[in-house]
This record gives sequence, C-alpha cells and structure tokens, in this order.
Amino acid sequence: MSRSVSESRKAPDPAPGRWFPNFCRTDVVFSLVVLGELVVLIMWLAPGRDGLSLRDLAVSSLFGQWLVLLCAVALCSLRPLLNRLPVLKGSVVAYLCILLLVAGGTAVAVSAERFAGFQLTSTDTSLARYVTNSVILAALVAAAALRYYYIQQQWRAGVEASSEAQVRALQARIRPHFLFNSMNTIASLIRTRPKVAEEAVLNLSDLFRAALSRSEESASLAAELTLCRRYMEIEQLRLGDRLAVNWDIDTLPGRETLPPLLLQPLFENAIYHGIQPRTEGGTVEVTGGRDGQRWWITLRNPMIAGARKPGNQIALNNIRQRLTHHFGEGATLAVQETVDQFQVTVSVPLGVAL
Amino acid sequence: MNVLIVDDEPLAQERLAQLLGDEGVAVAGTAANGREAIDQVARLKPDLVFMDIRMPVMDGLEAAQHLRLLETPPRLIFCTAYDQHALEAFDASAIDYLVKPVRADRLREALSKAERFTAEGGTAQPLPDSEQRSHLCARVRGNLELIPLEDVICLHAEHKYVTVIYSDGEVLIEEPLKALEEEFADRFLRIHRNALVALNAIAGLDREDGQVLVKLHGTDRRLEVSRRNLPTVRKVIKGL
Repeated sequence: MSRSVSESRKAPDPAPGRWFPNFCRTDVVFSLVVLGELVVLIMWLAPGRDGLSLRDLAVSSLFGQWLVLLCAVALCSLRPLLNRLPVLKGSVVAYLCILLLVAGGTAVAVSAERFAGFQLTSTDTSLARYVTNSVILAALVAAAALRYYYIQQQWRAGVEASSEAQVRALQARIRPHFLFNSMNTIASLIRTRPKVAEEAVLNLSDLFRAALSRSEESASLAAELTLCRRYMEIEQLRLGDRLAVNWDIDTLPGRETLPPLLLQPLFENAIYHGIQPRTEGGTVEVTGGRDGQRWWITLRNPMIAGARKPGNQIALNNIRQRLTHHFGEGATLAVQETVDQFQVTVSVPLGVAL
Repeated sequence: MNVLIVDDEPLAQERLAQLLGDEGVAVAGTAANGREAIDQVARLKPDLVFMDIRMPVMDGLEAAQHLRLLETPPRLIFCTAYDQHALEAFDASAIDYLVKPVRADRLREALSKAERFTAEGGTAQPLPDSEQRSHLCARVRGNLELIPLEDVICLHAEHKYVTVIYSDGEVLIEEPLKALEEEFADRFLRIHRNALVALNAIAGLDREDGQVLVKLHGTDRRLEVSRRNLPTVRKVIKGL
C-alpha cells in the first residue's frame, strides 16, 4: 500500500540559504564606497594622464559612487532571491547583474550630463566607449569584490557556527534527555552492578569534560573516537540489546587533528533518529580509514521508514559549518538516505587543519 | 495495589521496580512502549500505571489518551527524564508526574496520591502541540482495540459513530469526522460530508449512474465523491 521511494543525494552547499553577503548592512555599504573611491583614486593617479586635475577626481568620484550605490541597492534587494540559488549560479547572476547595472548606469549618467550640458565629460569620446570602459573596469573589480565578500561571509558564518556549538554543548550536543536518562541508568546500576555504574560515571565525566571545555582547539582524531566510544557505551547500557555497534576504524590516522566533539553528534543522531525509535533497535555500522590524501568516517544506521525529523538536519548543518570553518572547502559531509537507511560520511584532507 | 511499569529502557524499568519494592508495592508487569502498555492493561488490569513519555511505536501521552476510553481506566503517573512541559499541557488525566531519576520520597508521595484518587473514564483528550496520534482506538466489548494509522483505508461517518475501515476489518469509534480530518490532514482526503479516505489507499475514480466513486486498495468498497469535493479530489489524485 505504501509507495517506496528510494532517494540518494549529495549534501547541498554549506549553509544553504545564507551564503550571499548582506549588502544591506551599513558597514558593508561603507566598505563598498571606500572600495569604489580607491578604484577612482588609482585611475586618477595612473600615469599617462596630463596633470592631476582635482576637477577630474571630483567628477570621477561622483560617477563611481553613483555606480557603487546603484549596485549595492540592487544586491541588497536581490539577496533573498540569490540566497535561494546554489553558490555558483547565484554568483554568476549577481555578477551579470552588476555588469548590466554598470552599463545602464554609465549610459544614463553620461547621457544626462550631456543633455544638461555641464561639459564634465569630454565630447571626443563616444557614449559607447564610456559604457565599454566602465563595464570592463567593473568586470575586473566586481569579480574580486564578490569573492572577497563571499569569503568574509563564510568566515563570519564559521565563527557563528563554532560559538553556537559551544553554547549548545550542554543543550543540544549532549541533550538534557541524555543526561537525565544516563543518571537514571546509573542510579539503577549502583545497587545491582556497582562496577558498571562506576564505569558509566567515568564515561559520562569524560563526555561532559569535553562538552564543557571552552576551547574549539583541535583534539586528536584518536581522542575524539575514544569519546565517541564512551558515548556509545553509555547508550549501550541504556538501550540494552536494542543497540549493536560495529566498529571498523582501525586504519583511521589517529594523529590527525579536528575540533573536539565534531564527530560525536553523528553518533547521537544515529541513536536518537535511528535506533531509539525502533522497538527492535538495530546496528550502527561505523567504518573509517584513509583514502589517498584523505581520511573518512561513515556511520550507517537503520531508520523507521518515512520518519525524518528536522532536528537531524540542524545537527548536520552545524557539523558541516564547523568542518568548513576548520578545514576549508576540502572537507565534506555527505548524506545518503533511503527509505529505511541513513548514512553519513565525513571526509577530510590529511593534515590541513586551518 | 497492582502496578504496571512502562518504559523502553530495561534499566529504567528495573530501577522503578526496585524503588517500588522498597515501598512494598509489587510490580505486576512491564511494557516497553505505549502499544504494549495498552495490551498489558487489558491483560493485567493494573490499578496504577507508571508511564514514560518518549518511547518507540507509541509514546506515553498517546497511550494515556487511549487508556482514558476504558470504562475504568487505571490510575496514571507519568515518569520522564525531561518532558515536564509536555506534561503540564496534558496533566488532566494523570495523578502525578515524576522526573527521572526518581527520588524515593517523591515516589512515596505519588503512591499515596494514587491511593486517594480514583481515575475517571472520559472522552479522548487531544494531545498537546497538535501532535498526531499513531493509532486510532476503539472500545470493543470493554477492551481497547488499536488500529495503526497506516492500516486505515477510509473513515465513514454514520449517525454519531465513525466506521474505521482498515486492512483487517472494521470498527466503530466515537469521534467527530471533522476532528479526525483536522488531526490527520496530511494523511486523509475529504471526499464527502461523511467520508475521509487515506491518500495512500486511493486506487482511482469510477463513474456509475452519474455518481463518481473512489476505488480503494485493500477493500471492495467504493465511496461516493460529493459534487462539492470533486474538484479537490481530482486535483489531489492528479498530484499523487
């Protein structure tokens, strides 16, 4: 009766929906104005001109700022639209938009000036020539500027993601549910199996020490994997036979570095969205190793058919941003989903922690 | 007092049983989710149920909602790690709620409350935060019969009852069709003033004597589409 849909997809770009720089912010507009003025100054100072006339500088500045502000207004109002496009497509659209505006803006400014008869521009040069010149100049400057603002935006998103990660260390990373259920497990074990209870307390302490540490500084992959094992040991106590874990990660390079608690949320997701909602439980398969100049780790877990929760996506986006922040664009997080299986792979170039 | 413990974690069941043992209360049985809880209530007829909230298959809030349909529902104490807020919105049918790990003196207090109160049966109470139930529940000869939502083919209203037609048969439930339509808007389609059909059961449309009928997977019954609902029904079927 139910239709089975098989879906397998690559993860989208990092932080979809907010990659495009915000040209509505006053500080960004100000930096654009400065940039525009810089270009005007360079043109003015460039050799090959006869004398430095202040009048020329004033005219060029007026003209330059007109174009800069025109573009800023356009990009500010186009931002919601651009953010919905993938990065490459959106950048091309923004770029073409700038060139079009510069062409139009130049044509309007020069024609208006000629019509008014201010004699600010030399009549020897044709209108078409003016337009071509400013479009060529804009093509060069806009390419550099867009790239700069994009990188700045990514950096800002990265900083936000990592500070958010710290704030959420107690709340989301280690969920309140996890804490109290673990405490309950320990309370139960103390009477019947004090040795196991002691082990659980030690594991829980290690996890909280990592979660509460304020540093985003790198830990070794080996240490992170130990934390993940401790986490899974606690969940094992809680879920009993419903949880099985297969580890096949011996060839992972333990001395590689990564931000602490980067991988642990993947394990938590596998438990909360995969194993726990199933009465029969299931097996979490953990595989990892080296592949050329990269290391990778994959988690695979069963899912209840059709049950997808938004919480999962939030956690994955957060990990993705932290990956980009720490390793640059080379690190990836890819999701493969079928009706009843979920698989996530993190792959990081060897030795590139930023 | 006869007690049932419902929790999906074996160690959590064990701890509550230990604490109850300390208080001299015997545990009649355990269940690992809401669905099992309803079966166990029918079998063991407990006076008091300790119910966890987050469980697979059917959560504790929904199980409590179904249990209220019994003529003499067991008294209920919710037991949870971190869901107090959900409980505050839903405390009408529970005597008390406890947070895990449970303290012995707090448990004693809850037990003495349970001895004083007798729960009353009533109509189903909607779940907080517009959550969907995973099952429909019918009272059949004093027992509760649960129908998983994915087995339901269509709902047909006659007088004050709604007939639930599902893969294994039919039962009557006492809920307004309108409320069912609202709760399960993403699952059922209104085709007539008196009928909802499951979207994934729709097999197509037939025309007969000027009437349009919906054909359904899993049953030979065909249900009439009213003139008013026909445009929407056509549009939805096209989109399937």
